[in-house]
Amino acid sequence: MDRRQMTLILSDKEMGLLDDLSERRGMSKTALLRQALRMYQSVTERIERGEKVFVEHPDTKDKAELMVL
Amino acid sequence: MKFNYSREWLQRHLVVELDSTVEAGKKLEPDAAQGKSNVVTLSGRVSAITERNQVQMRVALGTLVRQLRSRDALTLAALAEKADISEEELRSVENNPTYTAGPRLLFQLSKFFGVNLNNLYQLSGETVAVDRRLYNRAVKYAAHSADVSPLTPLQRAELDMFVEVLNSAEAVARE
Amino acid sequence: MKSKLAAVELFNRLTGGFEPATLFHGVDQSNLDNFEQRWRPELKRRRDEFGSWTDAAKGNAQDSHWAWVEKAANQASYEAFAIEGGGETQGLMLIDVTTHFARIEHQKGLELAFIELLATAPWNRRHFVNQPKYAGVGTLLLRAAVTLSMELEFKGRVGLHSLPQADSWYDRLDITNLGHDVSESMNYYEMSEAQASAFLKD
Repeated sequence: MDRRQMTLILSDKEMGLLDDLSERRGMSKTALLRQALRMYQSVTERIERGEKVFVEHPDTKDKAELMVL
Repeated sequence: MKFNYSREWLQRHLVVELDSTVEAGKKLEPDAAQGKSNVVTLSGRVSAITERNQVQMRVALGTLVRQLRSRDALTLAALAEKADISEEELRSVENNPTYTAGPRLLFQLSKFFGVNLNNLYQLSGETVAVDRRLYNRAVKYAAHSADVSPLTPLQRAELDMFVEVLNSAEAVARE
Repeated sequence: MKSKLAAVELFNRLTGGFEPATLFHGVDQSNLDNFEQRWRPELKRRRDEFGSWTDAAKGNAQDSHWAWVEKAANQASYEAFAIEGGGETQGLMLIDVTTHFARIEHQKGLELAFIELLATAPWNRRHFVNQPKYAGVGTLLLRAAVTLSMELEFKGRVGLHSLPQADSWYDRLDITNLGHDVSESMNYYEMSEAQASAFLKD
């Protein structure tokens, strides 16, 4: 598999977020960022296809649109 | 990504796979069990007949059965007995558009009245996609045929026409 | 982009021997063409032979799934895998790694590789043809799914809905059966991290 390298400059807060998330999800920071990229792509694809992305509260059934393009 | 395995590993799993099968997810072939009428659940990816369409077609189906029975001067009980089906099922098909007619019931009705089975099946609302023309004819037919009194000559003519549509080559289920 | 992942072997049931095949990460038009031109007519032919009105009517549901596969395989959000052997596509698998999460209690909510489609060619299916040709396609693709899950640091977690005829295979495998999933009308199976490691072990 081809590999490319990039240097990422993050603020303290962003770095802290990355540390926290990767610990909570049980994966390395690199793996987490890769996953975040895929999720972003998945959502973008859906929106470009004309779909809407919502979050829903399971109990109240309140819906909020997640990303409005 | 690296992918490695040993021949022994594969052989171990083959022993089990040779006896069964491994398919998962989207279904690409008909059910092995015949006569099983699953209601097909759909993800947001495919388009299908709506619930309203389904109700409309079932109204047409119920009307058809009721009128054929009337044409042949049969009570519900008499038809149930002659066609070897249950009165309860028959009553449901005739009057309840939320009722899902089973394969056997449709087969018996098709045999008894001499009406094309594939089209009865589409009218029963079980298929995901239906022939547009059949749907349009069914809706038109049902709109004129709501009441339960003996058939007027006009209704009789419309019934005959609809039966002809059902049995003609054009209205056969789309492949 | 399609790339060769590994040289593998399939078991030819007719000859009783192993034959070389290739496992690919990603699919291209040749796989989709093969899918449309070789898999689908085979299925249609069998359906006509069966001659059952039940099957003919249900054909519509499968038709929409065929269309879905071609569309999905072209989307970047799925990880696609194919096994090619004897000049044909013998197996296809589509995996979603972003929108499904684990359901087993101790790994609940964590990412997993969700198998949207795992299919072997019609001529390999035991309950479909009298003399199925190749075995091992499903097993190898499942291993690819678990391997992908490891690669993405999901620790091997995998989820899938089993088609009814495959329940007996998954039940004999060390994978957790979470029971009937009403939304899909199929059983949902999930591999825990421990089960995944055990599965991969030689």
